[in-house]
Amino acid sequence: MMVRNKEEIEILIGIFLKGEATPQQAIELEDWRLESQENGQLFYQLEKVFSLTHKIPIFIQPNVDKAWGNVENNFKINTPKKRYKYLLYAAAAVLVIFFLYNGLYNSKEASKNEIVEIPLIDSTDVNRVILASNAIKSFTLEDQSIVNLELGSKLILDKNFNKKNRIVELDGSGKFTVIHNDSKPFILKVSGLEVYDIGTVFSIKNTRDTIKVTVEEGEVELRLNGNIIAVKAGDSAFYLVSKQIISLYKTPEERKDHTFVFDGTTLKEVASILSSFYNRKIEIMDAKIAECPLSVTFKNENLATILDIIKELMDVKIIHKSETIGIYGKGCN
Amino acid sequence: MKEFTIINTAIIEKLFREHYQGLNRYAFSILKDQIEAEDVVQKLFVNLWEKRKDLEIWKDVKSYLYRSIYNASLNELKRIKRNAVFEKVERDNIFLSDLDSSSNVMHTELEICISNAVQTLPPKCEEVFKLSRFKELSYKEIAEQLNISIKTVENHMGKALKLMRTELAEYLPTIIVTILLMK
Repeated sequence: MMVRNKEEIEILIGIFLKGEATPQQAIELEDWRLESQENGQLFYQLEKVFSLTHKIPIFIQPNVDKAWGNVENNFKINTPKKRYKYLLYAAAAVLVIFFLYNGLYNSKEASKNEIVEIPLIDSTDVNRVILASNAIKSFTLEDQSIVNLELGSKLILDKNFNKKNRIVELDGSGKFTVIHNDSKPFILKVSGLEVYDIGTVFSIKNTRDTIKVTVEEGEVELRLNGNIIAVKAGDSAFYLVSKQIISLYKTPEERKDHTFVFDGTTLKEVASILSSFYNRKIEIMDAKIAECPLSVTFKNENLATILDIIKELMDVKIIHKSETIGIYGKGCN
Repeated sequence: MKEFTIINTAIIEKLFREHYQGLNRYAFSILKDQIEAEDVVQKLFVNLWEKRKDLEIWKDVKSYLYRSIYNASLNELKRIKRNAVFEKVERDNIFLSDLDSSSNVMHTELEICISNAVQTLPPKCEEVFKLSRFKELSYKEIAEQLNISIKTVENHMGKALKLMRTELAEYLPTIIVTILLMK
């Protein structure tokens, strides 16, 4: 999304309310509106002013459940019976194949897993896509790798997966238990970063701005622009997507230096790193401070001290709640 | 690169729940009518279900949804405008008959307040605002009439809304009630 200042946003709201926003502008504004309560409030007030002064009704939030009911009913009406019957046969056939496959080939551990949606068509000329659209998915790939795909995530298997290569592309987050194969390394691509397995269990947490790679067992190599960084069991690495930088962090127990180096790192990225590292939910509550850069090095400091220093340096408020630490502020210092 | 995926009801429902409000708001911004807006958005999702095997849609489904709403709303608007005279008369009748004496008083107070607020706008800003409000001109039409760029019109309108928000601040909590009465 293009970063706009408040004045530009107010102009964009005017265009939108007048009914002249392009689809792209509408998407941008909706994303901005949902970004924070403050944004939503500003939009709502301008919407009210526009409605009143232009004598048009104000927008009222529709009832989504009721609307979905209407739409879903139409799905049923519009689904041809023959096609439905065919789909039932196809689903039954796929299920039979799936159970046979599981019974013949899967390990004891894999049998605990469930394929919620089965990757389609074992063909040589297409990539296959697995979506975890409405639930977390666990499944076993043809090479016996076990994947736990987080909600909303997508895994694309290369058309030659398990035949000529083991290349997958991840859009989202997931955990991978991979059996190493020298001739066919398991390569996971995510936002330009390549994760090469060296016999391991690893997980990817993708927040779009940062990608955290955590290795539970074994080792992986992260490859980016010709550089290779080894990440061993217990370590984590953060890939800052916008800057194309990888930072390696060991677990608190194992790290000798206990150092975080932030060099022009945005507060949003800092929160994401600290959040993942200390296992606490740290959220930027005001969009205005999300992109503020922080340049500081922390050595042997605990989370409370780190947050205190950030508070002083960035002139922000930090409020601790039961499950979340919120960072509030009015803008960059 | 060819990709295959299974698009089932659950996926469409997730999309629906994620984007229904936003798409409705967008359709409403063009149509200025809640029922028409909901109708356009619901039709889109029924259409999406029918076209679910079209892979092009799924490459950037959010853009597809907003583009579709834009086109469908403009088509709907054209249809509505064909009956504009009749609808305007009907709307004005409803507007007048729905207001009781107390809300009439409130309406008058608001009208005065709005009128005062409009007068506080800088001259060019006021001119643009009035053409938008009273002549219901589009930004393009206003730009042509005043011989300025559309960008300038957009700036004036953004500024006008911002200033009006400040001027009308103390009335904003009561505005919803009044607008509901006006419907």
